[in-house]
Order: sequence, then structure tokens, then C-alpha cells
Amino acid sequence: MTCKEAIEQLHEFLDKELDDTIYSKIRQHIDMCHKCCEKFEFEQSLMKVVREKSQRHKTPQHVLQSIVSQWAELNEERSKPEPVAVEPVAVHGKGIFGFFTLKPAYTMAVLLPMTIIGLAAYLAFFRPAEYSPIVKVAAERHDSFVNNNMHLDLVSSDRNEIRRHFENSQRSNFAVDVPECNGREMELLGCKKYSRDGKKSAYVGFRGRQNKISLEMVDGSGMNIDKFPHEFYKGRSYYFGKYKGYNVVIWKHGNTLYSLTSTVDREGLMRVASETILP
Amino acid sequence: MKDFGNQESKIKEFEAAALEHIDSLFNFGMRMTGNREAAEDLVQETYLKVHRFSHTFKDGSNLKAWLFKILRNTFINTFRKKIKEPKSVHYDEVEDFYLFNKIKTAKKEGDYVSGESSDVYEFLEDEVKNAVNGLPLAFREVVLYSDIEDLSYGEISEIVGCPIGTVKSRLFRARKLLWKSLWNYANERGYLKERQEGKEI
Repeated sequence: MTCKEAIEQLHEFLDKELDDTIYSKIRQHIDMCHKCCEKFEFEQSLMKVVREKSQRHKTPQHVLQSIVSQWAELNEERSKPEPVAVEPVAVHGKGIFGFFTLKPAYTMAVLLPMTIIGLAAYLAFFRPAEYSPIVKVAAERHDSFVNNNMHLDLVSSDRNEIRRHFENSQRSNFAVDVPECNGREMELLGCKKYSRDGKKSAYVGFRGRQNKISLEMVDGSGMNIDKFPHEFYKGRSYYFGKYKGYNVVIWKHGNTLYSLTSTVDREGLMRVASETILP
Repeated sequence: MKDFGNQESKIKEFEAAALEHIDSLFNFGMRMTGNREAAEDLVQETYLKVHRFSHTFKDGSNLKAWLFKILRNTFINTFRKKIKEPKSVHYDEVEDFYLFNKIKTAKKEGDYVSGESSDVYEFLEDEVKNAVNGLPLAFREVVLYSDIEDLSYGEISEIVGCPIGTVKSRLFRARKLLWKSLWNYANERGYLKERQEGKEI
């Protein structure tokens, strides 16, 4: 073996990627050749230095914990039987107006006109000009969301934030602590413990709903949200437990991040998003 | 129902095995993004996907490579980054044994350049870190896989989806660039001067 041949395979040799025959041939050569030995040893120690002097970052404990708890949640979801499989008719029946049918029928009779009046009042008197487009649009379109077999929850890690947004518009029925939600089996559908701000934010909603559309707000103050591209996550798939959904868009406005998410098919939601959120 | 317990313990086993590599993944995330928050997000997102796609993992195949592959794809998707060899880098202008020759020249004639001596161990942690972090992504990742994570060429080729030959040449170029930038950093600090004066730190 010549020096040239040995040097050509220096990295494969050091990375232990050679078969035994060639490896021992090179080994022999290095043992004999002072010049090559020097180079091989040098390269080897360089690689060692890179390895040893590279500080290894340890995963923060909270990240590990949130993964473990998220997995546990998902496992629990998985092990539960599909509600559709058990009671297909009942679930389907609830699907369209499930928001109302769980309550007596008069609730709906009262709620619907109120909502319409509220919407009209909102549109006529209370719509502040500085409203961020997505909240405004989501509020305006709430009824059609419901009628389109979708349900809109406004969720945020910060209840006060929700209240602030809807107090003026008298549409507090969007908030999580509203009468419609009392007595309902409302629970945390998922915790975005890993949201980009490092704080918790949560989805709150009703279990078992099939076509879910949710608007999430995350308080972005303290976050460097300017670094995010404007429409990041657009069209990206996302999961609520076992329900497949699409995180259509995360939209930033001022210091708030909004995301519109739904389990409706991707195309449908992209259409909704393009009519509402996207310019 | 019979295999249910069995299956459950299998899932637990898989989860534990996957979590064993979390530090490697996080470290990689830190190195690729250079940002703690982004690295945390990246790892969380990756492990969500790991859970979701755990059924696609073939028993007996390389778990670490599989995890890195998911992490890498997540990184590319999240940051919209392309991991390509930059055309603007003239790596071939860097001679072979660049650093070796530089140190050799800096030393007295006839002196043995040794890995065991202080010649290379004097590089500071920061210099190594900056040199690695300064590499273009395509080079940085192969150095991380190979020199930090000890993955084989075969495993790396699986992760990056390139033939082994490409991995090899990329890795060798990456190291060349790395040595060059290591030298520049060390030199800025006055490494050469110290060498010539024969001082020990």
C-alpha cells in the first residue's frame, strides 16, 4: 500500500467504515510510515476534539414531561373505542346541531334569534374598526360555521383575552365560560404545552365532535413572533387526539397569534380560510 | 383482547427506546436552529410525529436513524429550509490536511505534530462550537451525525436520503471546511503566535 492509497481512505479508516482486510492493510502501513501516522493521528485527534469539545445540550425537563404527558393523552384517546363505531346514528344525529341538541330545544329557539340579533347589533353598532381581521371574521361567520356542520370555539390560554375581544361585541357566547357551556361535558381537548411562546395555551371544546373548527389565540407578548413567516403552518395537518385536523393558518396580528384549525377536509377549510383570513 | 397487554407493553417499550435518544435530538436541534425555543418546539413536534407514525417503524431497523429522519423532515418543514450543498462554497480550494499543514508550518521544523500533545487540544470549546455552527446546513448536519452522534455512513445516507458516496464526499468536504474555520478562529485568538513562541497556555 502506498501513502497515497492510505491517505485516500483516511476518513473511511477513522470512521471505521472499511472491511477488515483493507483496514488491517492501512493499519500496517501507518505502523510503518511515520508521515502517514502523523497525519492519521492528527485527523483522528481533531475528530476527537470536535466530539469532546462540543457541548451537548440536554433536553429541558419540561419538554420531556410534556412529551410524556402528550403521549399518555394520545394513548388514552387511542384505547378508547370510536364513538362512531358504538353509536353511529346518535353521534351523527348530534353532529349537525349538537351544540344545541344537548340542551332542550327551546335553548335553540332562544339562542338562534339572539345570536342573529346580537350579530346584527354587533355589525351595526359595536364593530370596532381596529378589530383584528380573523376575530372579526370568525365572529361574523359563526352562524354559518354552525350551519355548515362546524363548530367554532374560541379558545385561548387567557380567558380575559377572550372576554376583551368579545365584550364590546356582546358576543361573549364565544368564550369558554358562557352559559351554553355550563353542564356540558366540556373538557380540555388538548394542551399546547409546547406552543411557541413556551407558555401553555389550551384548546377547549366538546368531546366527540366530528367536524370541529377552532380558533386559537396565543398571547404573543414576550415572544419573538416577528421571526415567523406570515402564514406559517398553512395547510399543515394537525391532530386533536385521534381526530385528524388541519391547522390551516397561524396568523399574527399585533402581539397575538391566531390559528384556525378544523377537522373538516383540508380543501373545505382552505376555502374557508381563503375567504376569511387570507387577504 | 388477548394480545392487548402484550401490545401495550410493546408500546411502552418503543416509547422508552425512542425517548432514550431525546438528548441527541435536542442537541441536534440546538445546533441546526441555534435557538433554544426553536429546538424545543422541533423536538416536541418530532416526538408527536414519532407517536403518530410509530406503526410505520419496522422492528429491528435502526431507531436512532429513524428518529433523526423525522427530526430532519420536521426541521425542513418548519423552517422551510433547504438542506443543500451551497454552490458558493469553494471547498476544493481548501487543500487536504489544511490544518495539519498550518500547524506543521507554525511549529519548529522537524517537530512532530501530534494529536496527543496540546496541538489540537488547545482549541477552545467556543472555537469548536463556532466552527461547527458556522458550517452550511448540509455540511453541519453530516458532521453532527458522524462526529457527534457516531452514526455510520449507511445510517446517515438513510437519514438524508442520499447515496453513501454523496454522504462521504459531503462529510469529507465538511471536515475540510471545519478545519479551516477552526484554524481561523484559533488564529484570531493568537494560536499561531503562541505556537511560534513555543508557549504553553
